[in-house]
Amino acid sequence: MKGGSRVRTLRELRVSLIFLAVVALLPFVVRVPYWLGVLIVSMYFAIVAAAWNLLAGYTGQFSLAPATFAMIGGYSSGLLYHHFQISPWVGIPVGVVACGVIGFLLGVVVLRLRGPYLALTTLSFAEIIRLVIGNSYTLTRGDLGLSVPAIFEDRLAYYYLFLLVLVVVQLGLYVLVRSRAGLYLQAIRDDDVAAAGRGVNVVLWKTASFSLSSAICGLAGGIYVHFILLASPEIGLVLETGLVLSMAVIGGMGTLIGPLLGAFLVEISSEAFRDVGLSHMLVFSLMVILVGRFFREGLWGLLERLRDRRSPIPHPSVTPEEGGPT
Amino acid sequence: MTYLTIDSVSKRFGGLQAVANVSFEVERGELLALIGPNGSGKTTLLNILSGYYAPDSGSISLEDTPIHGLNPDQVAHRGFARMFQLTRLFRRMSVMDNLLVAGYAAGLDHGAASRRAARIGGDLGLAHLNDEDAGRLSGGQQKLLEFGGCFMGEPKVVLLDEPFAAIHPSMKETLARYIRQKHEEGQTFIIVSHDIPAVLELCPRAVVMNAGEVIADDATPSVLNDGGVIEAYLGGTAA
Amino acid sequence: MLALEVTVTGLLMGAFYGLMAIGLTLIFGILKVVNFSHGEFFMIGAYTYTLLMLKAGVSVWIAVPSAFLVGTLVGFATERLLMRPLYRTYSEWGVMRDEYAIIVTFGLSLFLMNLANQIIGPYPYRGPDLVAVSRVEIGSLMMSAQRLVASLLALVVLASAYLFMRSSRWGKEIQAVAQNRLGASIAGINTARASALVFALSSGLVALSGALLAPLFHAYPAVGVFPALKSYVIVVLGGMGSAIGSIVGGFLLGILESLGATYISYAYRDTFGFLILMLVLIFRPHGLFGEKVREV
Repeated sequence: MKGGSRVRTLRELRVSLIFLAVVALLPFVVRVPYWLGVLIVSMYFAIVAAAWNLLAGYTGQFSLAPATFAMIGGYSSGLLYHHFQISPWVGIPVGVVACGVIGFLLGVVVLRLRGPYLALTTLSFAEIIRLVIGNSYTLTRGDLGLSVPAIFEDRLAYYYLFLLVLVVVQLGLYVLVRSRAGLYLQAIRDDDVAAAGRGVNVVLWKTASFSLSSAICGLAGGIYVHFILLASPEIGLVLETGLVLSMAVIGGMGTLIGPLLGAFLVEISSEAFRDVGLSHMLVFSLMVILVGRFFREGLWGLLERLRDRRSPIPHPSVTPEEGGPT
Repeated sequence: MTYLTIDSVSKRFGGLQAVANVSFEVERGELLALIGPNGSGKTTLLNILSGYYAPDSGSISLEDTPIHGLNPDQVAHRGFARMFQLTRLFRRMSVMDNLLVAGYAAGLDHGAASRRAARIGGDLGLAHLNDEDAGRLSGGQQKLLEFGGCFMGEPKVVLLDEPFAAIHPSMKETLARYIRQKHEEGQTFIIVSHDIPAVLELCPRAVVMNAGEVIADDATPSVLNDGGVIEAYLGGTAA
Repeated sequence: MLALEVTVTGLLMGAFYGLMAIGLTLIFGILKVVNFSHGEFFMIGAYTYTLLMLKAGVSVWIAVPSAFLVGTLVGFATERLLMRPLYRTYSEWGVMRDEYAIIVTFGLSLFLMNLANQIIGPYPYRGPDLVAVSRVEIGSLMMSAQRLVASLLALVVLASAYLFMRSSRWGKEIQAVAQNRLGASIAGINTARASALVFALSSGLVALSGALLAPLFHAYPAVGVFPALKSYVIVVLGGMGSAIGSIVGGFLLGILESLGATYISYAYRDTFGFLILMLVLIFRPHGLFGEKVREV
């Protein structure tokens, strides 16, 4: 791809911020609460997809547990309120920390695992947690779900909270990816044997990535349950993880903007498909297959190719650019 | 004090004794060849040296500090750098980023790392490819890149596993020239290679392994004339 | 005689599990990837059997083999259309075969489930019984004739599949390709055909298990999810790529689950398999009997 990774990542950030600026202005045009809700859900998924992309797209750890951590985050806040009347403003951060710790532990557990074994272990973890939550009626009200209070009265407040989190996550990921830590993660993704040989502390960075990714999922889930007013095991269904994966893959894995584009595309068009009576998941799963088979770089990659074809960039020069990683 | 001491190192995998009681010493600034027929344990020994395996017994010391049993990244920080037999690169990262990773991990700040990367890239003829994804380079260029990455951390010992295998003669020449130049600057090398003419030309001393054991350790020309060595290569007891 | 009954129940399920899992392990053996759409071939078999019998009034003798056949055909198509990039070392996905396999097969899984949902509908169809007799008495045990017949059938098929793999010419070709793809092709074996054959056969076998279990599990879009998850556990227990391992693993899981469900907790019966999988992989990252692959 033309332009080098530094230029690429900056471009991805720029387009992300423009996209998010548009999202910020949408409520002035879109007044219907239903569609605001769709956009809010899109943002929820965008955050989870971005977190998964950090772990899978940038660190190469194909976890099948992102929705599980969103669920854990949601239940942390929900349970603290339900049993101890603790405010969500405390409960949500507690959920984030809990997910960070559990994510770290999971990372330790799967350190030596690769590819399908890693996926299967995280899948097992996901199912165990979901089944435990679903079966613990006295603690969590099981499959019925836990009623959870609202944190705002106005839908718009949720909208801008999610947007704030999303913007912070995007910026944070940009800084991370461009930093030396980001380079280490990508080196681990590309070849963790070689990375270790070059002196990268693979154990540290893999588990750190797991921890951060899980924490971000937990944050998204924590806020989400207070929006839908319910903490339910269904948040952590493998199907939900499948949705997250689809969004990141369709949008473009391993890029800053892929998960964002993918989440909005998938969520918004689901609504359109619903009107037509066509199962949105049917279309998206087909898209995932096609993207996987033919367009590995996803929608964003396609857009980049079109852009390159229209205005070919001259061959990159020798001098390293200023403003490098911190 | 010898620079690098390998003392009675052994390693067994199930029923196979891959490395059997290997001992030799390397002086600072030596250019040592490690040769032997396929399956003789050379790569396994390299893997033990660079921390990917822990020896079953024996010890390895660099400047009197034991390094056996450490993780690969810890060994790298102690001063080892290595090339792999099948080129290992960060294919979805640019050439420059490939070098920078090694530099950062070695503790350099961005400025120092970029300067060193630019110099190494320039010396190896890769500078014009700085922003290309490493996976898009030709096989020979990839090998040069992996080789160049070894020097980002100013290593004490550089381990090369089949550096001359399957590359264009002109690149081989670039590689050899760089090795010679570095050697003149005092760099210590251990080179595993099947390319006997290259070994003869570059390395004054050779250690020969067969079936996990060291069967010869002498000046390269003498070693190559040794009856036991010839037999090992031509059909003696190869592992 | 609770203990005996529990064990027998476990063994009966074990036969099904073995049949479900053997395909998955064979695919891994030859392609070195886990097929995440495995469960959906189970679903295809369940639907084929059920719908043929209910809607087309076809007899058991035709419905069961048809399930196998349809599974085989879909498996063949899947391999031809989607699995090609896994063979080429330097394709776009070359360095990320695992990623590709996970994404594509996961996508396929979702696609097939939703396709069934769209075309057939979400309501479960109760699979017709295989045999008219409902209960049978053997010694001091009462058991469902249904399950007994299905298990025996499963065992017969398993045994045949195993013998096929060991002794037939095609079976040997498959083993050769599984062990060394390049070497096998140099030896003149048509590796593409071997891969297609394995995928087709594997899909057929798991579809067959879907048909045999339809009276028990019914047929609905997500019916394959749990069987797939169980298969993963079995394959990890028995060793990826080992046919006999998946058979043994199947019985092992069947018994363990039966014991766990009866003596520990019925509600958590599904978690035992997952716990076992996690524990196994933590201590043995390549499975209980898996071969340690030299990475460096």
